[in-house]
Amino acid sequence: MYSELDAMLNVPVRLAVVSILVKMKQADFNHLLEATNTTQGNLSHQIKKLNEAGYIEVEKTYKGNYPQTICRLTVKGRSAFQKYVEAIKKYLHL
Amino acid sequence: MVTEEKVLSPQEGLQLISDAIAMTKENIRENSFPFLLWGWIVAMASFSFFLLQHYTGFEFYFLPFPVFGVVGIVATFIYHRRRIATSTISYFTDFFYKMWLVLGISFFAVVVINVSQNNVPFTYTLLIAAIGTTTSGLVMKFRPLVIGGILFFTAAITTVYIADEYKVLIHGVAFILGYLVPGYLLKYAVKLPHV
Repeated sequence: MYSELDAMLNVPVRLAVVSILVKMKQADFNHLLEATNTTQGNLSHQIKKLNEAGYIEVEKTYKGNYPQTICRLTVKGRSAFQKYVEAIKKYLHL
Repeated sequence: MVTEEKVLSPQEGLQLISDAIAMTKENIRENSFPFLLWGWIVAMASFSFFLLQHYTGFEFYFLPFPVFGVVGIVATFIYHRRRIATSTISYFTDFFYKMWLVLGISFFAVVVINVSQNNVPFTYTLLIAAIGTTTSGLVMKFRPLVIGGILFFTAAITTVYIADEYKVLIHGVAFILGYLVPGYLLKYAVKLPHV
């Protein structure tokens, strides 16, 4: 089913994360958590998968004494997103 | 709540992309900091310059500008490093910083060129502030900054018609009205358009 759609992106949280990062130069974990409306655990899991696929890069840093996770879209991720959008358009005859 | 298991149909995918992008917003009130910092710095430097030049025999009456300028550069650098390292940054904010970096370099170049030629630089520094402030206001859709930019343009033209020794006073007042007032309004703005 929908075999032309990138399986890495065709899952709600991962697609939402990549869609947000298309518009932002970088986004922190809390911003993504608020925007995706999912759980911390699920978001961490999906970020890890996107990072392993090379779609996003993840930087661990600190804000004061608190750990902070910053995510950025990679060239590979941007390209995959563009292909995903093209595939959707094809399915929908847009 | 969004869950992992669900696989999206093309229609759902398109809707999700659209919703995610529409929800993506940045608190552009955070962009008020550079206006407040540099508003205070340039206003204080301008008035100190005027007071030292008019009411003291201090030979280096121009020193407030380089001294306050160095403080401003260091504070801006630290703020920028901290924000880049820890926050969500939109492409607009990235453009905003780069534009002001170039304008800041232009500001110092204009000062060096004019001082080397024994000219008073304030007309041109006001013009540089006018360009940056008006552009920022238009892009943020924040009218007080646009008005601040127009005030800078007006002040720049005004300085052409007044004596050199009083140009720095216009400079100081312009930075209060053009940076500080819109900067505080931006900081305490309740609702702003998403950028």
